[in-house]
Amino acid sequence: MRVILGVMKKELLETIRDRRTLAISVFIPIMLMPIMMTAFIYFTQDKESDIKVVVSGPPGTEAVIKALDVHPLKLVKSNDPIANLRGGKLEAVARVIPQGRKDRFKVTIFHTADATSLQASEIISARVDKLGRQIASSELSSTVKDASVLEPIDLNLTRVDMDRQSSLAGVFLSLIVLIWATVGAMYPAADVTAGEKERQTLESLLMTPARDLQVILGKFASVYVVSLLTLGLAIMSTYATVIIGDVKALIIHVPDNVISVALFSILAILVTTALITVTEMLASAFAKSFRESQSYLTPIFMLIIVPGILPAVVPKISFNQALYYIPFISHALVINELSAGLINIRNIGLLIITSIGLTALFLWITMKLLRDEGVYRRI
Amino acid sequence: MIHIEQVTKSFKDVSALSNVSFDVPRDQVAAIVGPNGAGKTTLFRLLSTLSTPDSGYAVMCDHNTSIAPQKVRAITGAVFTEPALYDRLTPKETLNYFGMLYGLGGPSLRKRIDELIEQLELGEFCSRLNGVLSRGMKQRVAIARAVLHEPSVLLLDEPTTGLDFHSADNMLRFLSEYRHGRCILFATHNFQEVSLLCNRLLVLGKGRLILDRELSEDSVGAEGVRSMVLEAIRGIDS
Repeated sequence: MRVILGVMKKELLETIRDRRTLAISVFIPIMLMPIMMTAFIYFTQDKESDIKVVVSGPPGTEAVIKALDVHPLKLVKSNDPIANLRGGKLEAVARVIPQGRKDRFKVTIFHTADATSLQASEIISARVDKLGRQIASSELSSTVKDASVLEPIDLNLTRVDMDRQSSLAGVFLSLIVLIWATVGAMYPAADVTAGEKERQTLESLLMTPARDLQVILGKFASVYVVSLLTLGLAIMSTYATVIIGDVKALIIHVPDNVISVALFSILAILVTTALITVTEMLASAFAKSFRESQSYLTPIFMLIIVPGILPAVVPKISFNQALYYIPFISHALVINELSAGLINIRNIGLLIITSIGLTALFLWITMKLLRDEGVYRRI
Repeated sequence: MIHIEQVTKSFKDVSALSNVSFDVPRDQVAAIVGPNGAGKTTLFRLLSTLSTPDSGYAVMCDHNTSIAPQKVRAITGAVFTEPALYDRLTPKETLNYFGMLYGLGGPSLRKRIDELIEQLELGEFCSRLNGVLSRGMKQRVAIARAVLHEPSVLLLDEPTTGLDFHSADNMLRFLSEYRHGRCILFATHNFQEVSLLCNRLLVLGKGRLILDRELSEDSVGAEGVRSMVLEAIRGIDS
C-alpha cells in the first residue's frame, strides 16, 4: 500500500506542476461549462419566446388581432409578408377579412413546411377557434339555457413522462460524465504511460524492486483522481449555471427516493470513470511517445462518447437488455433511469460488474504492456 | 558477483548477443567496450531485468535474472547514457521517490540522501526542478539514484557521454570510491576512463565477446587499452 500511495503521490505532484494538465483538468471545465450552458439557455429561450408572425386586417378586425397578440406569438410589421415568410424571416402570416356584419371574419393563414412555421399556424388556428367559440357563446347565451351545448366535449391535455423516456437532464448528465471524465484522464493517462517511455524514466522505474501491480495501481489511482476532479468541477459549474440561469429543462425533479438515487448515481459515475481512466491508460500504453498516444486517444474519445449519445438519439434503444452489457451505453442508460427516479438493481448491477471487470482486465493488460519489450522498443 | 553463461539474444533476425559468457567478481570494475551495435546496451538491459535472454542465463549475486528478477533489482543500480529524470520533480524528491520504491524510508533514507547530496555535491541545486538542471547536474542525480540503496552491482552504460571534463572527472572519482566491496560493469567509448577506473577489459563485437583481459595497473594507459580494443575488433572483422 505504501508503494501504491507513493507512486500516486508522485504522479499527482507532477500533474499539479504541469500547466497543460492543470489547464485541461481544472480551468477548462470551470470556464467552458458555464459558457456552453449560457449558450444553451440563450438559444432555447429565444426559440420559446419569439415566433414572429404578421397579422393584418382592416379596421374592425382589432378583436382578432388582439387575440393573436399573445406569447409565444410576436406580431411584427412587414411590407411584403409573404416574401419574408418564404425567406424564413417570419413563421406565419394571417390575413383577417371582415365578412359583412359585426363579429364575422374570414382568417387565412399562410405558413411553410418548417416545424416552427407549422407550430405558429397551429397556435393561430387554436386562438382563432377559441375566439370563434367565445363569440358564438356570447351571441347564443340569451337563447340557450345549457351553456354546455356549445362545448359538449371538455378536452384536457395532461403530459405524463414515460418510465423509460430519456429525460434531457439524464442525457445531459451522462454526457457530462463521459466527456469530462475522458478529457480529465486524457493528459495524465498519456503522461504516466507513453510520457514515461518517451522520457526514458520507465526503465528506472521498472528496475526497482517495486511490484508491477503496485506501480500500475499507483499510476491508475493518480489518473483516476484527476479525472474525478475534472468531472466534479464540470458537474459543479454546470449545476451552478443551471440554477443561476433557471434552466427548467435541466433541473432534475427530486424524487422521493432521492438518497438511493444519488448513491447509485455516484456509484455508476465512479465505476464508469474508472473504466474510462484505464481505457485511456491502455491506449496510451501502446504508444512510444506522448504525441503518438494522442493519435490513439482521439478515436478512444469518440468510442466513449458516441455510445453515450445513442440512448438520447434512439430512445427506444433502452428496451434492449443486451445493451446493458456494453460499456458506456449501459452508463448512459442507467444514468437516464436514475435521473427519472428509477432504480433498477439488475441494470445497475450489470453496469457495475461489467465496468469493474473490464477495468481490472484493462489494468492487467496495461501492466503487461509497460513491461513488454516488443511494445516498448517496437521490435 | 556477475555470472553470465552462454547468453544469446536476437531481435527478429538480428543477433544482438551470441553465446556470451563471463564472470565479474567482487571489487572488480569491468569495462565493456565495443563499436556501436556490438550488444552493450542489450547486455545491460538483460542484466537489469528489462529484458530476458533467448537462451543462456545471467546470475547476479546468486540470483538468476529471469527466475528472480525482483531480487536482482534490489541489489542492482544502473545509470544509462540519458539521465532520464522526472522533469517536474526536484533531485531531493527524486531520491525520496526511488528510496520508497527500493523499500527504504524514515531516518535511514533521509540520512542516505543527505550523504549522497554531500558526496555528489548536489546541495546547491537539490531544490530546483530536474527539468532546469544542466546535463552534468542531471547525471549526478542519476548516479545518486542508482547508488541510493547501496547496490552490490552497478551497471553504467556510457554515463559520461556529453559531460564536460569536470563533471566526468567528479563522476569517476565517486565511482572509484564506491567500487570497494562491489562490482561495476562500465560501458564506455573513452579509453582514458577505462585505464583510470577499470581493472578488467571486455570487448564485444557483433554480439560476441571477443576479448576478456585483466588490466594491471602498470601495464596499460589509455593508449594501451586502445591498441588492445582495435586489435580485437580487427580480428573479428577479418
